[in-house]
Order: sequence, then C-alpha cells, then structure tokens
Amino acid sequence: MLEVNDLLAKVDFGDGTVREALVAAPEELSMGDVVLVHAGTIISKLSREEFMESFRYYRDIAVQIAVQAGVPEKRARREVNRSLKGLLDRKVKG
Amino acid sequence: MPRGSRDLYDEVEAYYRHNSAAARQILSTIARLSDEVRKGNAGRPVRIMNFCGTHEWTTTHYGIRSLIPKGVELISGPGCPVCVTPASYVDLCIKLSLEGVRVYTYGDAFKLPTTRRVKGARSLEEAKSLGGDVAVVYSFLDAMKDAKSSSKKGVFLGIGFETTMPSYSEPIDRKVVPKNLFLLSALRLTPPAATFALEKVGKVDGVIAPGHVSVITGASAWAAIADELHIPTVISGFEPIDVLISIAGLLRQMANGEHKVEIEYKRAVSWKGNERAMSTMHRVFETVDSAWRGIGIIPRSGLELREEHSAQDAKKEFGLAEEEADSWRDDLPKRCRCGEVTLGLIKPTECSLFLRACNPERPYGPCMVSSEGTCAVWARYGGGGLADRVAAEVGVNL
Repeated sequence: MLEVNDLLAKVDFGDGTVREALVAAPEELSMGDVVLVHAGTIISKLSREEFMESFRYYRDIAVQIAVQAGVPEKRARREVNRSLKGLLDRKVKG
Repeated sequence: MPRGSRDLYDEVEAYYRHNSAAARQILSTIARLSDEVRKGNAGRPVRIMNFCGTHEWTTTHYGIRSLIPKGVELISGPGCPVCVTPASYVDLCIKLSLEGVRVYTYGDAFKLPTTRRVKGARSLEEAKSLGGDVAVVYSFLDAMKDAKSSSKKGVFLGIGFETTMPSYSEPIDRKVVPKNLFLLSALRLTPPAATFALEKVGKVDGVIAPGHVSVITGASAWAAIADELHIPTVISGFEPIDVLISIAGLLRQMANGEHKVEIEYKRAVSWKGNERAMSTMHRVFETVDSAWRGIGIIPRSGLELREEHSAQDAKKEFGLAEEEADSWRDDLPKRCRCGEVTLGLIKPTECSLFLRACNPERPYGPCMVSSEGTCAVWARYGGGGLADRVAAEVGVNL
C-alpha cells in the first residue's frame, strides 16, 4: 500500500497498476502493508507472520498419519518437512 | 513500486501455486486418508462441497478433480452472486437505463440475461446498445466518483456476498455517497445459502468454506454447519495448494470422527473476522428473507438498507416489485437449469444446453455469464472430466 488516510488508500496492485481503494480493514494500516482488496475495498491486511501457517496445519495432518502408522513423531516431522523441501524453515520476504 | 508487495505476491505463487513438491506430498496424504475414510463408510464416495465460485475456478482450472482419488467428489455449491440475482433486479435496471437513469454495474452483471425482454433488451449490455445509459465499473467507489461529477440520478446494481458488502456499507455509513446515487441491494449471505443447499443435496461429508467471505464474517460464521449439521468444515484459500491442504484437513476430520471448523487460510482469515465491517453492516443493513434466482426464498439470506438510509435506497426511489414466494419458478430462461447447478444438485454437463445453446460466447443462463458461475468455469477450463480425457489420449496416468 502506498498511501492511506481515514477513508481511502492508494494501493499498488503489483503489476504497475495503482488504484484508490476504500479502507474497511479492522487493523491500523500503514504504508508498505500488503492488503486484500475486493471490489475497490480493502477488507484485510495480509499477515506475514501467518503466511506459512497453512503448511504447519498440513504438517500436523501428515505427521498424525505417520505417527498412527508407527513412525516416531520427531522423525515424522523431519520427513514431512524434507518432503516439503524445507518450506517451513523459509523466512517470508517483504 | 515497493518491493514488499511484489515479494509477497511472488511468495504466494512459489509456495501456494507453482509448488509441485508440496502438491505431490499433499496428494499422497489425501490418497491415504481417503482410503481410511472409505474403509469406514463401506466404500461410499466421499462428498465435499464448496460455496465459492473462485474455489470452483481453482478446482477446475488446476484439474484438482483429476488429481485426487476418484472416490472423493468435489461438488460446486452456491458461490456466485451474479448467478442468483433475481431477474426482476435486472429488469428494473434495464428499464431505468432506457429512461435516463445511469445504471452502474460490474462487468459480468453487464451481460446477465433476464428472463423476459424489457423494452427489447435481455441484458444491460443489450440495453446499452439500444441507447440505455449503462456504465460498467470496477467498484461502488468508481460509481460514487462518476455520480459526483455527472450529477445524474444513478443506480448501482449492488450484487455481492459478504466480501463485497463493505464496499457499499462503509461509504453509506460515513455518509459520503452522493445524493444522486442509489443502491439497489442484491446482497446475499453465504452461510444461510450453504445450510439451505446442504439440506437439499443429500449426504455431504465435508465443506470447503469460502476464504474471502470468511475474511469478513470470521470462521465462526460456519460453526453451525460443523456443530449442528455435524459436517467437517475447512476455510480455504484460493491457490491450488490451499485447496489440496483443505481437502486433506477435511479427510483427517472424517478419519478422526470430528466435525469442527478449521482455518487453512490463516494468512487472511481469523475466527472473529472483520468486526469493523460486520458492525458497519448491521448499522447500514438489516437481514431479511430473500429470493435466490431459480432456487427460491432462503430465510435470512439477504441484506436490505435500513430505514434511516432509505434516501440512498433504489427500491424506495424507483420501486421494485416484491417477489412473491412462487415467482422464482419463472425466474430462469426456459430449459435453463442454473438453479439446480447452483445448488449442486446437478453438474453443468447434465444440462442439455451446456456448450450447445449456452456457451461463454453466447450465454443463455446466468451460470454461464459470471466468471464465478459453475457453467462458465467448466466451459472455459474443461470441467466435466476434460483433464482425464486428455490424459488418456496422451497416455498419462493420472
């Protein structure tokens, strides 16, 4: 996001397009935030902290199956992470 | 251009889209879980339903039905707001546009066919070609800017689910909408429609809940489906890896005998949602029973402007015939089975008009018009088993 006031923000859509959008997000917004825009309205900020959470959620599922099949949990976690090519160790840029 | 936004977009692409290593790993988990679940249910197919046109787009575009085991069926449920907008709203807009009122509409609603011609036009696109004043806009904000400079009376065809709702409610609540611009609210709510569909469509074992509707409503909006209908529910993002992870999550719940709401789309969805948007919604709109095109009246599934905002209400300003409970029966063009497709009762391929009289270039029914309509998605991206047929022809084992 490039600029923000109480009502409107200027948002860079990442492909060279810059458009105004209404602010309707619950969080305080600042320049540099990455936001979710729908029909010209900012509905949320995208969370960098939780960016990889989907893969943690998935890891729990895969580890549960492995443990139920008799694999020790620590080994199961290592193997799932290896098969995801170390995704969960990556830091999110930006 | 700030690096931040491009980097995060690249991360989404790399991790959640073009990530074949993750896809293979997740698919093997899905295969193992589906074997386990089907052992426990006498081999009956596992039926998972989505409630978002964009989820159906991802599912079809990425060939997900061809990648998961055949015993896991993905059903497309009501997830397209343009598809379910009653024809009478389009009729009113066509009429107004030809009477000197500027009608603002989204691009897909521009082509939305009504059921009977109004002053010779079957859609706003046809009305425009007959001289009607129709402006295609990206947002209500764009319409506000145009209305301010034109000073003409204008009507915005306010289609949308909860995700679109703040684009109307925020400016109305803040009283920044020009006095000459009126909202024709065709807003519909997704959880009531989901409950309605789930009661009609036979046994459903899991729900992929819409990601961006849930950004607004919060994951809690789906608790009734999990707690009262006992159906596992996962709120999913829109990338193919998101959908695969969500399917794995649903299968895990089934294998464990659980039925709860889980969030896969953690980077955007929280349990409580956008409380600001929800409280603005309640200040500006009231929840009412409303008509869904080709389906009928669904209780507490629509939003109408409250009395204190009647100055902005197109229904008060221009009048809109109140739908009789039975009017929905005549609300689709003859032989169009959009209502059944939308509810997930039939697939597009079971409609005799699909890809014959009704196709993306000449859409006959609403589900073929909108980019979120199941028929349009299947027509454009090879739904109905095209990936399987192509794979068989080129000798690839799916």
